Amino acid sequence: MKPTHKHSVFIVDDDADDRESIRDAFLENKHDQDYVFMKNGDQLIEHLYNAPRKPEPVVILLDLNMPGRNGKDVLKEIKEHDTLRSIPVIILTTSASERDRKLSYELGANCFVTKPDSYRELMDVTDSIAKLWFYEV
Amino acid sequence: MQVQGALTIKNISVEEATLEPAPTKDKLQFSYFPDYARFVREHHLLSYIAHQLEGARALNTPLLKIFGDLPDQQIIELSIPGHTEFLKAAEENKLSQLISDSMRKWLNDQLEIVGKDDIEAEDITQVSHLRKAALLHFLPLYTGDLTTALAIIREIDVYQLESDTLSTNTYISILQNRINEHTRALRQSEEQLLEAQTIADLGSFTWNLRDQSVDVSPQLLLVLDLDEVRDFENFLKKVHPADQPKVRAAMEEAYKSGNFECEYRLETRDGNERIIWSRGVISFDDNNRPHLFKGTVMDVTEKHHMVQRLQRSEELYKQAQTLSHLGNWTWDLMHDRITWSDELYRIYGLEPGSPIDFNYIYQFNHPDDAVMVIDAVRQAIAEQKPFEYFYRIVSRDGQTKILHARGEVLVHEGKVYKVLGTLQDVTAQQITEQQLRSSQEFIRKIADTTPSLIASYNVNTGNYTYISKALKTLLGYEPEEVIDNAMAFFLEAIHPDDLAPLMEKNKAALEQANLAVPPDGNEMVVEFKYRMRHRDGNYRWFHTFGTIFDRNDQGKIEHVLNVSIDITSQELAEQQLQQRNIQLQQSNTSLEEYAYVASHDLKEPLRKITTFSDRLLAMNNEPLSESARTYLRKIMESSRRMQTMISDLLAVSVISGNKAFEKHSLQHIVDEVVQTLEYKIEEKGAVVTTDGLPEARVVPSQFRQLFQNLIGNSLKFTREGVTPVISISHKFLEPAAVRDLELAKAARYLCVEVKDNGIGFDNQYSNKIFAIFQRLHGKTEYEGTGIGLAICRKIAENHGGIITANGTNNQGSTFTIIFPL
Repeated sequence: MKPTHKHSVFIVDDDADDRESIRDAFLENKHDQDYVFMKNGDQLIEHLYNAPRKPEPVVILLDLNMPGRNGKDVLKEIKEHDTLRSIPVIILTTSASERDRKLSYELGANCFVTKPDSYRELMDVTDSIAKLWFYEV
Repeated sequence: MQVQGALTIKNISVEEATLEPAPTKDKLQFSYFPDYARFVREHHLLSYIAHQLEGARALNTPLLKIFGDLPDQQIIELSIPGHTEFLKAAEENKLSQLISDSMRKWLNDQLEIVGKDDIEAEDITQVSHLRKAALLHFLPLYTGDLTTALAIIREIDVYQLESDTLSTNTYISILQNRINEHTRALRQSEEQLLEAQTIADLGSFTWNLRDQSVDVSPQLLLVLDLDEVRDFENFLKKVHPADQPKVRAAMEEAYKSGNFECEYRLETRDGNERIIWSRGVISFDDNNRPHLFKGTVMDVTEKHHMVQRLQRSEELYKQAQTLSHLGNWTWDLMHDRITWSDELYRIYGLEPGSPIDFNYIYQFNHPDDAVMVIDAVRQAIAEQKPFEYFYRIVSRDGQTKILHARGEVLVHEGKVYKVLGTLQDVTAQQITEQQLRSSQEFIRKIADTTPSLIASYNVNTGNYTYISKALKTLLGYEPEEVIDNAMAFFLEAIHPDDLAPLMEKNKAALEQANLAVPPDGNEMVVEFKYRMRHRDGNYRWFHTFGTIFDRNDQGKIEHVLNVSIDITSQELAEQQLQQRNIQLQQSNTSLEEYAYVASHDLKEPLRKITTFSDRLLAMNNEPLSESARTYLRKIMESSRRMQTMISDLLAVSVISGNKAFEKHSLQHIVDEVVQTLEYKIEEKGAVVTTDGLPEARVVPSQFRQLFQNLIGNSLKFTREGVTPVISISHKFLEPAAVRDLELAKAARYLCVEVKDNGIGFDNQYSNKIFAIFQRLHGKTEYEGTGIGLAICRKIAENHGGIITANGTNNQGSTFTIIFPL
């Protein structure tokens, strides 16, 4: 399962600390990819609609609570889009709410993960995500 | 002579009656009566006359005699011209003219149907009464408007009072004329008698006052029934004892004036009484001393019937005064002598003929009127003008009476020497009038002083018949301003948005009311709520209660009565309340939102504290010292603890919002909870028992939480070496059993007990333990933030119930939830 070339992993989160922590957690597990930071949903949607999409995301890690267009709106838009829907979207949020989880899956999220409190847990979680979604394409 | 003396006074009265100032032309100017009179004449003349005839028959009025056995129809026909004349005069505002014309006709015996003397005192009051009754009878047909009706009644009263007073005065003067005629006849006879000296029962005497010698004719001895006349004293003994002072007085008067005249009674030797009339002249000598007394005596016993007739006339006169409660009086200013008729004494409650003077009668004046009376009389004397006024007296028997005073002054050489007049007791009239007025006024006052708007209108014409004064305070208009065009006014004032629904509802109500007359007479009341514009341009809310005021003969609605109250403040308060409720709901929602967001956002930095502390611990390339690692762990532990507390706070705040009550088996809930806690139960080796809990209307998730917290608590605070036993039981309670617990009202209450045999607690903390973040034990001994029981209390309260705790140290605790079913 060694990468042949670098993928672009989109981390969409309004919290800069979180974006970096998530990226660091991936990197510490030697998942050496291109990590693209997006501050909010609007920025992501703009990028996705702007052909040609460079870089093309291999997976999108999406926060739910963001200013402007929130994660659910973005998720809905992607999953209802003819071509974009094939991009895996993993919800990575602080919310532990059952409602958020249910709604996210209904909208077509590929996975719903609550951001763990400890960094070590975060490393575990990101490692699993990487193994499941980074290299399958 | 006494009789003559009395007549002298009355002669003046007669003059007064004839001198009675003719009423100023068209003194009776009416505003409403004319039109009403026209209405009666044009539409109801025959029944108006018939009404009076009927009344006259019922009262058996003396005046009816003149019609003999004529059938009603003929009497009515005969009466048409007279009544028409009266009504026409009323129409043309010439009533005072008519009154004085008819009085003149009466005095001159020119009345068409009745002779001058056919009219009796009784007729005046009765005819007047019947006419008024007839006039009032047709009033409801003429107007339904209280104001107009009241004005007409008032004007008829004024007319009646004027007419009655003048009629009575005329009647009295007719009587007085009759008396005068009698008196004249009598006088003539007297003179003839005096002149005819030859008549047998006339005797003469010459009495020498100097030597007391008496020379008498033989007839004198016969007349006086004496054998001889020796001297005056001897003669006086023959005079009736009661009349002796009178004879003495006449003598004394004769010594001064020279003229003697006296009538006295005499007792004959056979025991009969004779009435003697004696006249004489005293002549004086050169020294102006009485010398000779020459005179005549006459037996007038036989002639006395004339006097009696005269007295009968006077009786008649007195009777007239009594009937009309009218007395007359004179005040001789020269001698300051006041003379009253008998009736006047009776009016004052005094014995007729008892001595009176100005000061004595003044004290009977009502305190409030005393000054006015004095001023009026004084002014009349000063201006030498006739006067008329009303005043009150308090008669000797304590009754307050209203007197109508009329009078005039007699002037000689530019000086008033006598005041004379009549006083009529008009208390009864005034009281009737006052009662009528006060009852009308009472209703009017109620209507006008109530803050509600009262209005009535005719549904057929749309005309308003009455609008109360509250219109001014409620809408800023005087009723008089709008009454003529009130329908349009109200339609204009009603808020455009409210007009259509209001009209529709009103129409429906009227239609329904027209379907049937309520058998019990209780008309339905329909309520309306709508806005009307005040003069200041602002709209006010009104709550109107409308009902049927009256119906016509066919049972259809005629007038509608509306009572409206201003509910603006109420309506505003209601609106404000609704606004507040919405605001409260909003603020509740936003509070929940706030709590959620706040706790969510609060948790964010805490999570980062944990994460970064963890990253520090996990750094392998630059290992930390052991103490640094300890501190980091403490930071992380505190952060986690705070996160839990925030979650718990969030849980409490969410409870109040969730109101999804449903019927749910509590046993089922407990079973679920026990399943969730299975691991802990097994770990502690605990036993959980229930007695088969019933169903109840609860929010299941909340009750799940409740049982989880309580059972969790019991599992947490167990005693070392004792098998934990948690028993959950229930019972139903009647309202009486929970009376003092201030619970929401219900027919039955459920009481659920969760009892354990754990470490228990000191009962002094039984209330404290439900407070948020309250802990009885150090946090190191037992985990938890101390929010579990606060949540339990909140859940119990959310269900309208309470939760109580009862504990004993080292024996166990019992938690009891009581809530309405």
